[in-house]
Amino acid sequence: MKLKKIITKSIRSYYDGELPMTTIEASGKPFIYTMEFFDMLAEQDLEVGEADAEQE
Amino acid sequence: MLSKSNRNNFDGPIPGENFTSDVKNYPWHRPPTHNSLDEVVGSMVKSLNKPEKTALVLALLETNETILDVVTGLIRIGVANGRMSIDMGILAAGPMARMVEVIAEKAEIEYDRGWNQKPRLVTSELLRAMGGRVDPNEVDEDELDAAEQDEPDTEGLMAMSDDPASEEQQLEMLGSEILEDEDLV
Repeated sequence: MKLKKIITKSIRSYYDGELPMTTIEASGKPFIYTMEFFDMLAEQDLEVGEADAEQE
Repeated sequence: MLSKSNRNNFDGPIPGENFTSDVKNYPWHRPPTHNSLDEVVGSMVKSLNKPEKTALVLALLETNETILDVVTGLIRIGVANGRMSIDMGILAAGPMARMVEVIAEKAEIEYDRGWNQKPRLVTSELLRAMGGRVDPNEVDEDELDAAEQDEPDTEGLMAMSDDPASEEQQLEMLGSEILEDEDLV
């Protein structure tokens, strides 16, 4: 399978609200970069650093 | 170039010598800088928020590059520089695409995503077709991909023609020389 096709699948899954839960659990850290995070970033006129601080 | 007689047959590499060479010469041969998905996405998001990177992304999108192209390029660069493994890059593609989309939305420029995002609608026909055993969305995409791959090339030098080759062409392909009428006289 070509790289672009795999990336397309990954993007589609993310936009459908699916997250790689096994990888996230294995890392032991909470994953903040969800669709909601980016929606919030798009709605509010925040810089990314400020949004990070708000999430924490 | 040495002639055949001057070549020393014992001066070649020893079988297995390639395994003794240093394989850590490239960044992707070494462990990546960021190991967790959160770190990978975080570093990419922060990097994309820098003015020079934002300008580059916007310039690419304005020249009709799709978000998919931009994200693929970013992942390739990240892997080549040893910042992430290829697997992590693929997993981070979704958040990166959304970040690029947010940048484009904020800059109010027209952009093309580069992929079709179908809403998750499960119809009774689809479930019947799948027998209820498989995730319909997944199968739908795979079937579409398979259909795209199965389509033969209809253009280009090596494309298959619809019509069979003429008798003369077939003889030529088999190595026969076609004699002109003048040669026969």
